[in-house]
Order: sequence, then structure tokens, then C-alpha cells
Amino acid sequence: MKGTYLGEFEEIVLLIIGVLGEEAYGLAIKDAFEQQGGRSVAIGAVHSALNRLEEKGFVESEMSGATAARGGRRKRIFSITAAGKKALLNARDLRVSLWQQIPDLSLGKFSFNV
Amino acid sequence: MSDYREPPIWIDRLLGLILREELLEEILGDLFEYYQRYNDKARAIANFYYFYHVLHFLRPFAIKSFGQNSNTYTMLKFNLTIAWRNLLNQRFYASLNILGLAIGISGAIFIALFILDELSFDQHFKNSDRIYRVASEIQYGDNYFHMALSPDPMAEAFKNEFPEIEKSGRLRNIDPRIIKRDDESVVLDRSFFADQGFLDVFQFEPIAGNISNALTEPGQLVITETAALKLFNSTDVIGKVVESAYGSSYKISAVIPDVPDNSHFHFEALLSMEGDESRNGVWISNNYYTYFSLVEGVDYKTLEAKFESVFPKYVGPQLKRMVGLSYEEMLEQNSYMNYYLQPITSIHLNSNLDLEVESNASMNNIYIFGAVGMFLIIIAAINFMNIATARANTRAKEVGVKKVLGSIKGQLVNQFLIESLLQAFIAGVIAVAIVYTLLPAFNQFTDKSIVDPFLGTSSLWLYTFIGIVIIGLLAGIYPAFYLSSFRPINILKGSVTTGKQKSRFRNVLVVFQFSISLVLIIGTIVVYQQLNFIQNKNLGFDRNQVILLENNSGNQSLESLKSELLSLPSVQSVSATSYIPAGGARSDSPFFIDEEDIRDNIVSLQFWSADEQYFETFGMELLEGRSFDPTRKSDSIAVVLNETAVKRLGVTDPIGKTLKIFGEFSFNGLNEFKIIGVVKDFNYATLKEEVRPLGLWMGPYSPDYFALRTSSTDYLSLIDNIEEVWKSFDAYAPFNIQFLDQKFDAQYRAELKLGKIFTLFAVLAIFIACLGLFGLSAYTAEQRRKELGIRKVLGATSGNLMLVLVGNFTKLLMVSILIAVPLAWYAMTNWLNGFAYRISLGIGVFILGSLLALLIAWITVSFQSFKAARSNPSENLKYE
Repeated sequence: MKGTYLGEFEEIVLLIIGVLGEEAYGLAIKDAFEQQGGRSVAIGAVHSALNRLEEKGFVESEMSGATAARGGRRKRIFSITAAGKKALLNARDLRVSLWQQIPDLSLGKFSFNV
Repeated sequence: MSDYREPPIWIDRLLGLILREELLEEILGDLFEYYQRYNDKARAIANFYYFYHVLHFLRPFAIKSFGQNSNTYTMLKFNLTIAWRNLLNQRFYASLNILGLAIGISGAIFIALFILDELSFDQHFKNSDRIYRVASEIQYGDNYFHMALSPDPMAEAFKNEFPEIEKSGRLRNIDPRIIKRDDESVVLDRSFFADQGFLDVFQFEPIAGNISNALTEPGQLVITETAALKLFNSTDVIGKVVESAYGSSYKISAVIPDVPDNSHFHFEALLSMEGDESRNGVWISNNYYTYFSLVEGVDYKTLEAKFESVFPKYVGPQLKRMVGLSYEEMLEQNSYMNYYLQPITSIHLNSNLDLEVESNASMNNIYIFGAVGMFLIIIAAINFMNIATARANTRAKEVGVKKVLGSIKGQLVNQFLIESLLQAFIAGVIAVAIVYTLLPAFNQFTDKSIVDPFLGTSSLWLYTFIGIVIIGLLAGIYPAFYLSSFRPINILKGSVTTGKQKSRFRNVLVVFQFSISLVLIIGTIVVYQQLNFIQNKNLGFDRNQVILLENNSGNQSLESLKSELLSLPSVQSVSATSYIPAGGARSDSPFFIDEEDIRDNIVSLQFWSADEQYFETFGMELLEGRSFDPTRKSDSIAVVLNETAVKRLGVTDPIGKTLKIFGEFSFNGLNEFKIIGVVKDFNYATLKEEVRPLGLWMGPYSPDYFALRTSSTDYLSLIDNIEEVWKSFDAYAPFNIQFLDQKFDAQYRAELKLGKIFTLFAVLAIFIACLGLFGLSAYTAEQRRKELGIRKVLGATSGNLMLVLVGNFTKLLMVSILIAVPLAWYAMTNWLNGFAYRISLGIGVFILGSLLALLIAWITVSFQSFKAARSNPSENLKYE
């Protein structure tokens, strides 16, 4: 397995897989990313990230659901593995811990709620 | 299935070849599903998006790994090795090819960067595709206006009238400098008057302050981040007060980010236009830039067609009152007013109206640059083809042996294509290095700030890559098919020669290259001649030795400041005015002469305020009458007209006649003036325009400049003296000096730049073409070594041999001249037509250009020819 480092784009893709549940396949993830993330992304970029996540063991996948809308081809549905969940939690913890270390002085300027 | 549209089948097949099998199904499925989203769009559009995403699948993870032992892999590796060895074997020709291609590609990349940036103008505003500016086309009597301005009440009235308009806002092009007076005075660069609607239309995101009521009250001021830092070194400046050069004070209400470089307006401050004359309600004077943001889905052409229907309602009553005509009567007199919408994204390249916010670029230049970029690459690719085919018989044996051993044509074609692709790629890598190295110079030259040319937003890397592949294939395809079509039996018998037919093809290519280069050379000469003509034309005023002192202090003691300046040594005259004869036209007003017969002759005049030493200072010539005299009380209504104004007003003996403003307009409460003089026409706008009618009077307005005519050229000490005087009047006022001739030159920046770009690319084009010629001449000399040796033995001199070698190329160049001259004549006539004052295209330009090209080509060819002609015949013949 490659290192367990989780990039920003990968993290969001992973979270979106969690959000989408049963419907988490390439194009749906691209759409969700564009809606929620507010920037556009090539389908290939999403596939590439999914491929990396699978290599790292954060997601697993199976083929299903051939429809005419896809020219009779099946989708690859992704789901988060236990390792993936752990990586997400680690990433969140790191952020929260860093946020909390920002000195009070500058907090007034940032004004946020964790 | 019938509801679904099939994507282009060849793309899918290609993907099937390239992509990993286990990923193919899901990828094709996703792409298919995506393709259906453009079902209601044209095929071409759907295919475009499809292709975009397909290209993005060309990533390592998705592509098949080619096994170490597969046939494809082995052949590829073999061909690459052969290509590399061949390259090293023919270092001289290969480096000519690669160098030419690298220069061509980097030139084309720079052009692409420039064009992409030009095309990106005004795209960055939120909903910029729904924002439009009003332009006006007005015919009134003999006067025709086509300008970027519209009347004051239009923004509000049209918004109320047409539900299609969501928001409307206005900008007014008056620039009272914003000043912070302190020990170190600071002046902001550029400001406009604007209303709240303007902020709403463009949806600026505030850095500080409340943007939704930032310009609703008089005395409010919005500044940019840079301006805030300049003034207070902080963006926490809400509520701080600064002054304008006109003396009024403004309170900062919001800070917004800087306006991006690629916008059609730039400013550091927006002053609230509330109060003053912002709501004068006059429909028949045009002084405002009006912007509309339309409701989503509205077709602006349909909307603008409705504008006319409301003119009688709004414009009608005012016309009647001020001019005494109803709207219909005005139309009957062949006058009309037409307002139309310009998408703001098209303004930078397609709008060259009068009174633009800033001078814009032109789409023509974009086409010209695009063509030049293509030419560079074509010329470089031609070098490649020429040298490859010329060297065919050195490769012929290789082809013959391979064919005898069983190679089929396709394999040989592959081999030669790989060779040319390899060279193209090396050239591409060098080109990218060149681009990165020269990027700072490019940015400086074009006033742009491109940081990362390839990985930036434009994904140029992809296009560069595709471009290089295409160049490699195109340049290689002809030689590949030509070489691989040799018949082995002929080759091995030794009877293949580079026959006449093949050299004819090469000749055509050389002619083509040189025709392009020659067009560029002639173009460069014409552009420079025209620029030279502009700079030396008698403009009706003398722009040399005039110093402009910016008056931004709002100080009231004008007269004493003037007389102090005048008392400085070497200052001959001083004029206080806002109207410099280098800034173009400003607003017009309608006038007529109050005499029988010509009363109906209404002419729009520029109306400038000047003073008694204006004409002397700017070196203008009075043809009749006299200049202003402040000691005469009656001169407060005195006016001096220019020749064009006199002609257009139709008055024969103008001095003493009364000039009246038409309708209800007035200047400082006055609407009747006495003509006291006529000044010779002077060009106050660029030479692209004819001189327009103009009147000057002693308006009591605060001047933007003190213009000083000086007899000395020791500017440094003079400027010190001026500063001393200036500071003695107002120690805190910023001191800014300009020179009239520089201000004048600034008007032609676009043309000067065009001239430089032309020169640069003409030099590049001819250089690349010469690289090719150099290679070709070296090759010819080598081919004819024996012939030359024999000629020499039989008594030919080196000179005779030179003639033989050079003469061949000279014929080709003569043909190029015949082709290039008409093309260049046509292109440059078109370009010159954009100038009201222009040079006539003489034959001299063409002769000069042709001679220059001939000379350069001769020198290039002579290098090799000379070597060949001088060489000892025994050397050349000893192998026989």
C-alpha cells in the first residue's frame, strides 16, 4: 500500500463518496464536487483520484447498474473502507487541533465557529 | 436507445486502444452519460466538451502499460534509437531544424499567450455575460456621433421601463484627483464619478465597508485596495476623509479589490456622483457610461430593438422645449438617435467608439498576430520538409535495404514520423525553456502580468503538446511517404536521384517561406513610415519644449502662481488650462451663429476653456482676430474658433459675430459669445480622426495643468525652479511634471507597439527562413561538388561558380517578390485606411523591402556557396 497521505482533492472526493452513498460513481462525484466545491473538474481528474484512493485502500468498488443512459455500460460504485474512514477522521482532527492553536489575538479577525 | 445520442465512435475506439481494459467500461459509461447532457446543443459543441474530458483521461493511471516484450514497444524503442542516432549523425541539419522549430514554436506560444489574455477581457466580473454597455449613434443635422456615452437619465428610466433590465449603473469620466495632504502628499492615479448602480451591476466584493450603500450619499468615496495602501498603508480606512483636487472632501465608505488588468476600465477611486449635476435629467446630451445587467435569459438584441419606442415619451418633451422640434419632426429632418447595447466582454476588442473609457485594442490586430504566429510555425515546418526531402538520397540506401529485408511501407513511414516527432519534441522543450526565460520581458513589453504561461488557467500545456505533435506529424508526413515510396530495386541499382520534380516541390516551399517573410518585412517598413509620418506631421501646434505642471492642489491663487512661473528664467509663456491638445475630444455642445441664413446651421463644438497665453504657449497660429485679453471686461464672453468650426458654421467674416448655444444649454450661465479670433486647425485627437470643430473661451474653471513654454533645454534646473515656486504656494500639494511631447506619443502607444511586434516577428520569420535556406544551400553545394570541381578545372573562376550557386536561389526569391508585393500592398492599404492622415504607399517601400530580403538571402546562401566555390577541385574530384 502507498502512504496514507490524503490530499485536499482526495479528501473532498472521499467525503463526497460518503455523502452520495449508493450512488457514488465517477460522474456523480464530479457533479457533486462541482456543486458543492464551486469549481469545475475534468471527469478524468475524478477517476484519477478515485484510482489513487483505491490504491491507498481508502475506498473499495464494485461494478453495477447498467442503464441505457450509459450506453448499456455498468457503473463502478465506490464505498469508503475502514481505513478511509480513519484517514478522514485523522485529517479532521489535525485541522481542529491546528485551529485551536491559533492565538486568541487573531481570533477576533477570523471569527469562526468550529 | 433512440433517445440517446452516440458520441463520436472513433474517439471511443481510440480510447479502447489506449486505456486499461478494467477501467474502460466505467470510463466510457461516464463519458456517454456526460455526452447526453449536451443533447439539446449542436453536435459540435457536445463533441467539444466530450473531447475535452476524453483528453483529460490521458493520465498514467488510465493508460495501458505496454509490456516490455510487446512488438509495439520493441519497435517504438528501436525507432527511437534509430531516430536519435540519425539526429546525431546529421548534427548540422538537425540543429538547423530544431533551432528553427524552437524559435517558431516559442514565438507562436507568446502570440497565443497574448491573444488568450486579450480574449479574457472583462470575463472576470460576476455574471459578466449579462452586463452590457450602452453605445450611441446620433445624427444631428450635419453632425454624426458614434460614441460610448449615453444620457444621464437613461440608466434609471430604462430600468423602470424594461423589466428585462435587472440593474443599471453609470460612470462619468471626470478625474478629480484624490489627494491626501500630509508631509508626504499622495495622489491617486485615476478616479471616476460613479453611482450606487455601478457597484450593483459589477458586484464588487468589498474588502471593508458596506458596498450596498457605498455611493448613495454625496461625498462618499470607494477606493481600491492599492489606493487604500497608498493613502493610509492599511485597508482599515472606512470613515477616513480625503480631498479631491477640486477642493471638496470625501469620506471613504468601502474598499474593493483592485480592478484586474484585463478590464476595459481601471480606477483607484470612485466618487459618489450624487449631488452636483448627476440628475440633470437631460436626454439630449451624452456624458455618462451606462451599464445594464440583464435578467437571465434575455436576448439583448430584442431588448435594444425596444429602446426606440420610448424615445418620444422621454426625449420628445425635451426636444420640444429646448430645440422647438417634436421627436417626429426631428426624424423627418434626417436626424436620428440610436442607442444599442455592447456586451462588456466584447468592448476591449470590438469597440473603438469616440470617448471610450480607455483606448481599446482591435480585433484586427488579434487576427494579424494569429496569422503571424501560424506563419512562423509554417516557415519552420517547411524547413524541416525541405531538408528531409533534400537529403533523401542519403537515406535511400537505408530504405532500400530495409525493404529488401521485409519492411513494409507502414513501418518505414512510422520510422520517419518518429524521427520528425523526436525533433519536434526536442524543439518543443527548448521552446518552453525560451518562453519561461523571456516571460518577464514579454510581460513588460505587453503590459501584462502572466505568471505561469502553461499551467495557469488557460491549460496551454495541453494545446502546446497537441500543437507539437501536429507539427511533428505535418512536417514529417511528406518526407515519410516520399522516402518510404522508393522502390528498392531502383535504389540498390543506384538510380534514385532527387529528380527535378522533387526539387520543384522544394522550390515551391522556399518561395512560400520567402513570400511570407517579405510580406512581414514590407509590413514593418510601412508601419514605421506611418509612425514616423505621425510624429513629424505638422499638427498645427508645437509640442516640443512644453512642460505641463499638474494642478492638483485646488489652490485659488491662480493668477499670482501664473505670474511667478512666468518670471522664471527661460519660461516664455504660461497657460492655465484643462485642455491639452493631446488628449482627444471631450464633450460637445450644439452652437449656431446668430445671423440670417445660417441660423439653422447647428454645429456641435468642442468647447474648451483657455487663457490669454494659450495660443502662444502651444505654438498655435491665429489666422484672424486676436487672442484673449483679461483686462477687457467684454472678453469674458469672447470665443476663438478653429478653421473647421468656421467652415462648418458657414460664416464668412466671423470676427464680431455672435455665437449662440442651441437650446437650453449654457456654460457657466452664459449662452451667447462674441467671436474674436480664428485659430489654425490643430490636431488635438489622434491622426486617426479628422480635426473637429472647436471653440475656445476664457472659462472660469479650475485648470488641470499649467503649461509652460520654455526656451531652454536645461530641464533639470528649470524643473527645480518650478518646484520651488509650486511649493511656496502649497507646501503639501504633490508636484507632478509631464512633457507635452511624451503625452502626445502616449496616444500612439498601440501603434508603436504594433510596430515593434511586427519588427520582432519579421526578424524571427526571416531568420527561420534563412536557417532553412542555409541548410538547403549547404546541401546543394555538397551535391554539386563534383560539378563545381569539373567547372573549375575547365577554367571557371570562383566568381563564376558563386553566380551559378546563388543564381538558382535568386530566381526563387524573384518569384516570392512577385507574390508578396501584391499581398503586402493589399494588407497595408487596409491598415492605413484606419488613419485619417496617412502616407501614400509608394513603390519605394516595396523595392526597399525586396532588396532587403534579397540581400539577407544572398548573404545566407553565400556562406556555403563561397566555401564550395573556393574549394580546391582536386579535393572534390579525387574520389572519382
